[in-house]
Amino acid sequence: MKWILSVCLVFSSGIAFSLDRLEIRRFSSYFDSNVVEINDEIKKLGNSEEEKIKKGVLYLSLAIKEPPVEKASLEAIKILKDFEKKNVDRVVKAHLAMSYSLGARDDKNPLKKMEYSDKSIKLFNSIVAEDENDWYIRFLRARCFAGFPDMFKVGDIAESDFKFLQNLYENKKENINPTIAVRVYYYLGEFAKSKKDLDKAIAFWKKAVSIADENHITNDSYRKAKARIKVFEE
Amino acid sequence: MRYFIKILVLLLIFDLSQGVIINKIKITGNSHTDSSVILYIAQELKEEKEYTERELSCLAIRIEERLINTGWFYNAKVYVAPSSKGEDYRNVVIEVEEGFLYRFYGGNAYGGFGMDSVSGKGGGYRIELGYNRQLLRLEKLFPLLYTKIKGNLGNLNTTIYSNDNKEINIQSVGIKSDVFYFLNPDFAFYLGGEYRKNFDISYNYLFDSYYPEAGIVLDKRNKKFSPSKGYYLDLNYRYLSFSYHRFGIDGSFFVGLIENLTFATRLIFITEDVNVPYLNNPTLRRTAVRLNVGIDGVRANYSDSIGTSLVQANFEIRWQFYTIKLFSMINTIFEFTAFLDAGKAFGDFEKIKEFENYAIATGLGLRIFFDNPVFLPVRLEAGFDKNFKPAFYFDVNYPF
Repeated sequence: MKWILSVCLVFSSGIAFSLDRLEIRRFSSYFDSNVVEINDEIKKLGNSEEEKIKKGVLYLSLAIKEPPVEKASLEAIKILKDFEKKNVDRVVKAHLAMSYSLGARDDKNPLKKMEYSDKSIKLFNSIVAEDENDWYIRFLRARCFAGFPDMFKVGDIAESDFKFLQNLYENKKENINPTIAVRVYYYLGEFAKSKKDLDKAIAFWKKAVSIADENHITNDSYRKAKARIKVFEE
Repeated sequence: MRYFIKILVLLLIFDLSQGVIINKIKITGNSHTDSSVILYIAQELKEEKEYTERELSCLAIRIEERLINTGWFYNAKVYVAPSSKGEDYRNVVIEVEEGFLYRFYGGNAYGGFGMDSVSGKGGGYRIELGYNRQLLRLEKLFPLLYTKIKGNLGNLNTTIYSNDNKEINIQSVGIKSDVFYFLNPDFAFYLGGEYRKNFDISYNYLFDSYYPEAGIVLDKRNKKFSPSKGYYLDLNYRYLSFSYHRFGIDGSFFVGLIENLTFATRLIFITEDVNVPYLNNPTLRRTAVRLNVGIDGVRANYSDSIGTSLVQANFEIRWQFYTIKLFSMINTIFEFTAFLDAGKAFGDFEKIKEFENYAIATGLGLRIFFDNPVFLPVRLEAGFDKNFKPAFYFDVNYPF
């Protein structure tokens, strides 16, 4: 009987974690969807492992919105933390790390804020250490770390991740989506601005806008880069 | 070689670096603070005016310091950006992040509450209540006139000394007001005065005290709490009861020795030509040093010293050894300090050289600044007071 159960467990876990990276990244496409659409999708989901991952990513999508949906980040943490120790794709763990960082932003309890920040930084760094060339994970880390307050001293890590992505994009070493490239150049502009290198910052924002215009992208990074050029240069 | 030196001298005398013109000055992030108030703080910047690159970058740094020193913003940055108008043009972008404007503080037997930049217009108020004071402080800024009015109204308890050197507590109810005219936000002339009615603790009327005053204030400190560079200078003249002259200098100087280590000093000099009974009441004698000149606490203050002039020096070595952002929000700085104070009241300038009557205090202190956004400076000091007795002091205020 024990054997049968074990075989069943192995078989079921095989199904549960059959989600490949492309499928998980497909869930992330909801990052650009509207709140109603995401909520409708959440309602359709059940409690299988696959659906739980999708649900976690969808809650994360709600937490990313501006303004964020209340408690969405905490809901994402609750769901995705079950996968922290499991043998799942790094992207799932990266989404958990993102949820932690947004939880740090949203939680009212200062001790929880510190705990979530710490967990996010440690988890992201450990996933990146597994494969430093995993550009998508480094993109997620960079985007997340760019939003951390100075006291956490992760701004330099975010900047080096964005530079790594810039290098890959410009040398066409990886098939980096133009939507991601727009974000990369917008953030590189922000880092140059924080160092008061405005010539460089404006050049990065212009690059972000030109990539977006070529590819008909109108995401928030495009809008922000355009607004920055208007304020600083015009 | 001579030509080379001449050219070098010319370059030093005339700044020959290329000039740039400000195209536009833009302000972002100010949802509460009025743009005219921010422009007043950056009043050296004018659109279509030419500056050297160096001038512009120095001004940008100073304006950032001024904006942060107001305490109205979590963060403030001044950017000089290339303009699309042409190579010689620059845009100046002032980016601010609005801060927490309520203030809480306190001192020896009183607590204070107030608000800065009410309605975003740069004015403010403070209410101080406690055993020794019930005061309302107001200030109003008129940015387009480069003028600020400051006023105090209320009761203040002070101690004065009778002819036989006995302490007498008085209640002093009155009004003080000054009008400041700013040549730039670091440098102001002021004119004003004070009128007070003085009572004993049973509210029996004693005498009136009043004076007009004029002065100059120069403030080049880089930070509000614990500056690491710059200076503050206040030259003040008062015409006491339209009969006696009083001249005062209050200067503080700050030098950063190495990172986070600062040498701070404050020098005070006051002299009055009051060597006859100043007050109408013959049992009381007003001297220059009856006022609480000096610093509260362990420090050597001079309220019980007698003389018509006073000289005082405070020295501190300040080491900011730890900084943390509490609750991811409140910049908190821990500072260790070692201090030495020395001062003397005297009637005869010849006696300034005699060391025997100098009051000296020394000790160690810990300061915790709950800085931006709450601006709460906590002060703990332990040491030997001017009577060489061990003493301990706690306060919610900043010495200088």
